[in-house]
Amino acid sequence: MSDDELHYLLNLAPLEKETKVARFYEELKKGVLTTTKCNKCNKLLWPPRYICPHCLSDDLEWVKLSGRGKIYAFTEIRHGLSAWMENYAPKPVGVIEIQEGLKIVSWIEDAKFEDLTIGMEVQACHLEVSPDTVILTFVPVRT
Amino acid sequence: MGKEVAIVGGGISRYGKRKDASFRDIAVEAEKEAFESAENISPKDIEALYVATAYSDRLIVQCHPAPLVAEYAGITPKAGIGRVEMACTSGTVAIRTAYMGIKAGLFDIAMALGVEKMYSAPTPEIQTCLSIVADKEWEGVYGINAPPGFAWIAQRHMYEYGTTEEQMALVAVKNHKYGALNPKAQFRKEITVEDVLKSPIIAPPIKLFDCSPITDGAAAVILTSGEKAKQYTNTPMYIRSMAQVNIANTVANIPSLTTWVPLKEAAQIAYKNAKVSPKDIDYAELHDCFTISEIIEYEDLGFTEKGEGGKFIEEGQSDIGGTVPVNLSGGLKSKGHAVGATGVGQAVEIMLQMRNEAGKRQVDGVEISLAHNLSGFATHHTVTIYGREPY
Repeated sequence: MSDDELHYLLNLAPLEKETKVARFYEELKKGVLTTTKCNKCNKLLWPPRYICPHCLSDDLEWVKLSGRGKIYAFTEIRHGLSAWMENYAPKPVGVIEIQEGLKIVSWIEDAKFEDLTIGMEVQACHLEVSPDTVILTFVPVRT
Repeated sequence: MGKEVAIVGGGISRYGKRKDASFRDIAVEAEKEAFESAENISPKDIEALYVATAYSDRLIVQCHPAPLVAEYAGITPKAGIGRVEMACTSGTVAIRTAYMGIKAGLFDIAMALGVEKMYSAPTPEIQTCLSIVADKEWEGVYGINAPPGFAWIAQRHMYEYGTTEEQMALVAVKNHKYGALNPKAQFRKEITVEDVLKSPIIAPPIKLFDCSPITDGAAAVILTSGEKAKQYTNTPMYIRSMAQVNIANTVANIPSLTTWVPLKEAAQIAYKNAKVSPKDIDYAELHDCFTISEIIEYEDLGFTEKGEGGKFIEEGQSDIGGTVPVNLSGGLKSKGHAVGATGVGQAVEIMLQMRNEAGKRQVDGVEISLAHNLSGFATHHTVTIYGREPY
C-alpha cells in the first residue's frame, strides 16, 4: 500500500485534492488566508466556493483576508479521538470570528488551553500535516 | 392536507454494548416486538420499509442495508424501500419518509426501523464516523466530533446566560433516575451531580457524564393510514404534525450556537400544524446528546424563556409534576444513543406512555406528546407531535 493510500485510510485530510478551490491551499502554503467573494451578489463566502450558494453565480473572485480575528468559542480535544487525532491530541480547537465577519473553525496552535479566553486576538497560520497537505490554523497574537 | 397517519405498533431492542447480537439480530429483535404490539398484522402486510442507519457502511462494512433488513425481517415491500441517513436524525427521517408516503396515498402500511451496531469497529473508527458528520474538508478535518462542538455550545451558553456545570449535570441525574427504571436502557444506575462533575473531561466543559454513550440498538414502528389504524390496535397514536428544518451545515454558517434557529422554526411549524402550543405538551422525548442540549431544547421549544433552561431543570420542571416531563425513557444519556435507532426509539417510548405501558416511568394522562431529534452541531432539527386523536 502506498503512503497516499495509507493516508487516505487513516483519514488525514483534506482528502479532496481535486477541487475547484485548490487555490485556497496554494495561497495558504504561501502564508496567505483567502476566500471567495461573489461578484454578482457581493457576499463573502466561507468555506470558499466554486458556485455561490446565495445566487448560483460562478463569477467568484479570490480575496485576501487580513488573517486577524478573535476567539468566539474554544475547547480542547482530549478524548474520543478520531483515527488521525491520536497524533495531535490534546488539541485546542475553536471558532474564530475573523475581522471580515466570517466564523472559521480551526485548531489553535502555540497556546495552552488554560491560557485561552473568549475574545482573545488570534492570527491565521498554517500547519503541514503531510508532505503535500496543509491546513489552516490560528495562533494567539503575541503583544 | 393528505391522509391521517398513525403508529399502531412499536418495538425496541435492549440498548447497550450488545456482544451477543449482530446488526441484523438487533434489527429483528426490535421488529418482532413491534409486530407483537399490534394485532392482525404480519411482516407480509408491510408495503414500504425505511431503514435508518447512520454508519453501517463503515462500522460493519455493509452497504445497501435496507434490503438486508427486509429479508431478515420477512418484509417484501412492493411500494417503497430505502435506507435513510441523516446522522442522529436518521430514525425520525425514516418515520417521516413512511409518513409522507401514507399521507400521499401511495401506500397504507409501512415500517420505519432504525438500527445501529457501533461496537464492532475499533474505537478510533467509531470516533472518525462521528467526526465526519461535520463538513469533513473544513471542520471535521480538525477532529471535531460531537463533544468539542457541543463544548463550544455549552461554553457560549454559560458565557451568555450564566448556565452552570451543576445545572447541566442535573439533566444527566434526571435521565439516569428514569433509565434505571427502563429494562431496555443501556445504563440502569442512578448517578449524582458529584459523579457527573468528577467524570473525566472529554472536551472542556463537557465531561464524560455530560455525553450520551456509544450504543448498539434498534427500534421499529408500524405506521398505517388513519382510517385503517383501528384494525391493528385499540390505541393508535396519530402523528399530528412533523416538521424538519435545516438551514446550514457548517458552524461557520449558523446564526448562533446558543439559540438553535432551525429548532425554533421546526417547533413553530409543528405546533402550528398540530394546532397546539408548548403548554399543551404532556410528555416529551428530547435529543439530549449532551446535557447542554436538553437545556437549550427546553428554551427553543418554548417550554421556558431563552437563558432559563438551567433554572427549568433546577426547579424540577422537566420531571413528573413539572411543566413537562422530559426523557423518562432515560433519554439518549441513560437509555443510549444507537444513532440510527434513536428517533424511532423515541416514538416507541411515547407510544408506551400513551398506552399506559411505561411501567414505573408512567406519566398520567398523556394526550399530546412531542419528540425532538437533531443532527450535526444542532444544524438540523425534527419536531414531531403525537396525539390520541388525529386532530
